[in-house]
Amino acid sequence: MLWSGIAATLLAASLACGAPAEDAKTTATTDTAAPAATVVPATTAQPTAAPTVALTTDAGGKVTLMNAVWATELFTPRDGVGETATYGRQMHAFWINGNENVQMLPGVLTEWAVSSDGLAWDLTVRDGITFHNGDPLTIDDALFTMEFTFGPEAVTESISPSIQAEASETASIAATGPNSLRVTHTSPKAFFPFFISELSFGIAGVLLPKNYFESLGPAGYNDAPIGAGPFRLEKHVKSEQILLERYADYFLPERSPSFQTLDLRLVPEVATRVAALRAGDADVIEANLAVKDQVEDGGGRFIWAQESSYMWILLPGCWEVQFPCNKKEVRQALDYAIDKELIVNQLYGPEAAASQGWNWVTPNALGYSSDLDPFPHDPEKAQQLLADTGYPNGDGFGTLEVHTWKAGDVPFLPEQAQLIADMWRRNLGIDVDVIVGEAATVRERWFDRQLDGKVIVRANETRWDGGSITNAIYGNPEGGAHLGGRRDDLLKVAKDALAVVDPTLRQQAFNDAYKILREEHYEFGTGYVNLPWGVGPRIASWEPWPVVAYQTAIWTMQLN
Amino acid sequence: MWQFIAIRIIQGFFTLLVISLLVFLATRLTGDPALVLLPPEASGKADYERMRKQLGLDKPLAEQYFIFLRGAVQGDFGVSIRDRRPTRDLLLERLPATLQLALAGMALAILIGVPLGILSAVKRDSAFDKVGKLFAVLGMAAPQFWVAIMLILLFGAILKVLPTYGREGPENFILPAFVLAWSIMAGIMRLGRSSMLEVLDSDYVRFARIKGLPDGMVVWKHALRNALIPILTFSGISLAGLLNGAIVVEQVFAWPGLGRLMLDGVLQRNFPVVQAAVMASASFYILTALIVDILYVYADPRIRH
Repeated sequence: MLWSGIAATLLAASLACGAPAEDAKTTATTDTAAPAATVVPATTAQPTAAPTVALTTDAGGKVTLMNAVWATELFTPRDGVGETATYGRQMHAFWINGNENVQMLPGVLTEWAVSSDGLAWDLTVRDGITFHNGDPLTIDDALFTMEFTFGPEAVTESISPSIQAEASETASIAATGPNSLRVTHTSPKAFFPFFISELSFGIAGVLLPKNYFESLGPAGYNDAPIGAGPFRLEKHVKSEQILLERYADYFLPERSPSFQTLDLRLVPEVATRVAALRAGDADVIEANLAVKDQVEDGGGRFIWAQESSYMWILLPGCWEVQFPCNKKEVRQALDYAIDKELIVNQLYGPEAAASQGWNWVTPNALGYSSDLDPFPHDPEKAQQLLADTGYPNGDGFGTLEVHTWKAGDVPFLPEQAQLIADMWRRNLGIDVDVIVGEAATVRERWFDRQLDGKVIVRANETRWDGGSITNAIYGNPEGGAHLGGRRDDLLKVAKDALAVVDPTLRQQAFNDAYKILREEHYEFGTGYVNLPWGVGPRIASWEPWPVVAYQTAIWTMQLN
Repeated sequence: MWQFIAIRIIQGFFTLLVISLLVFLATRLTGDPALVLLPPEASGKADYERMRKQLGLDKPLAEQYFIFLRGAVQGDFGVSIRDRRPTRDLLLERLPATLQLALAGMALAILIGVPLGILSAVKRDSAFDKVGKLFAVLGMAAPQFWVAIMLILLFGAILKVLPTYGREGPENFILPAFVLAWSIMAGIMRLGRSSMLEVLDSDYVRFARIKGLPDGMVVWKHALRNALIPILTFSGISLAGLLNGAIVVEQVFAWPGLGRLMLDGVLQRNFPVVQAAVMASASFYILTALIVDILYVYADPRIRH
């Protein structure tokens, strides 16, 4: 009372400014999961049965979950970037669902099948789904959403470069039956189902209600969005709060949350999130390894989402002959000289990271096999390789610059860069400078080719299907800041793997391609890290999925 | 008087014009947002050129500036690169949060700082004066980030008597307003103390005492008005600073104000947002300085002449 009284006095003047800025609106199983799609003609995916009776009981309870970034705070599928999934995933229904084994499962679609040339995807829409306003989801909604997300307008109107690129290669979208549609691309798109699944990043795969959307327009819809997902939006205060209520008629009752209210909060500072968890003001927080002790001292614990990011060592511009790294042996020597196990164990610990996989090809990703794991630490071999290429003891190598930045999702990147540099100095005898910059600046210099011949140590989100990133880095003849068409042999390797559209063959095709690409060492890494969530005592259990950044599987969250 | 105001308004417009050019050039010097926005998957030249065209960065620099200036005159600062929303809407969304926090912080600074400064002067060299000076020094020296985190931990996480974040109720204002207010409070207190000491040594105060007026009346009625003049100026400029957003406090307390908007804009190379926020910020300063000057004239009739 005393506090409130003092504050009320102080606020007397400030309240003259009006109410708070509230913008209230009511309103594949193993490590190589096989997607449920097929090449036509073939058997189709097994649909998850639509419920005959939706759960209507009030589950009760509230979970407050704090994120560090929300990105655009838009709810339209073509306007999502990675962090949009933090809230979009909760409110929307996806064309294709995922699960804890990184498999694609029926969602709004019961079946999806690709033509033998890989150009056309035939999609079958489930009956019995309703949007949060009670309207049924029909083929019109499906067509409208697909057109909105990947139609010609999206090439210029989408704020996501990934969706722009996808839309620019979409030839047509048409209904083929009362509950089916076909999406045709200008080149084979084996990773299209993944792109529109909830296993992907962003919200490119969510469904819009056509009539509701058209009555409001894009801006109006984003002010009062509805979807067909497990939660409906109750209130949205920009940059502050997204309050969601359980949707009783969600079409997948087995994925209905066990609690009534999900209160998402945007709290950018990790120290504040930790304090909120300790105070009981939050139940789940986006954390990082550096605050583990603080979370545990306050009575909380960590729950890990496996393989959320990978630690990436890039050697841009090494296709240019003037750089020492133009020689494959030099690039491999750099890898052999690094003790990845030591870095991972000392900086992160076994719970938080592992030295496995090759960049985005982590153990749960498409194309992984253990022979893609990092090169062993072998200083003698590294020295020999360097000597064989004309740089004995690093003589004549020049100074190697390592550029990195402090990443929010992966701690200790600068420290990691320093350790790597130290190992190169010690094991190879070369001069190394570590330059810790700001993320946007380093990225900008990289894309502008100013970092050619240098090294970038960064983190990136993992993904089950690395088709799009493989295409961008190795399969794009234009290249840009990536290798692209500078090596015809590698371009062919990438294109051959990308041309495989039969889901049953993709694991092997990608595995074969990745082995060749890894051997070339234009990029390598130290391993992957797991994403820690700090949870308070009210959360009894939660099983977030691997290989998906941001909060997943909220329905597995059980309260004490 | 009116001539004085008119001259100040014209000066303000020219200042804004210069600032618009400076902020426009400064944002361009920080890098190319098209390169920043492209994901690792899309660094090809075609993606880059498409992005630059979308953002209007393919036009000559002078043309970009005049487009920006023409829009700014009409209150249109373009659309945010990040989410394609009008930057004016973003500013208006964030403004109430900043206004509330700034006014709460300012009210706290004045309500505590002025009496402390006056009492320190009146009780010069007493224990109260020494404690007051220590409080002021700490307020100026302690980093806001550290103070904010310590207060959140103490009152939020350990004592659990105040919320750790958010702005739902009046209690949410206490910690961020105090952190914001402390350094200003310290400034007001020190300024108030020295100003009051000067006034208390002046002839008219001595004369009032000789006349036999009670001490309370001498201090609070006769001395205070003159001692307040420098505090008025200081408070006005401080308020303008607070209205521009308190980046550290907003970041730590998850307060969705202009400071966080500007910080995000800078980090994302979101030119339109940064330009709009800086122009709004400059306008606040100029307007507040003008109001302070006018009040100054009323507070001290000698200035009119």
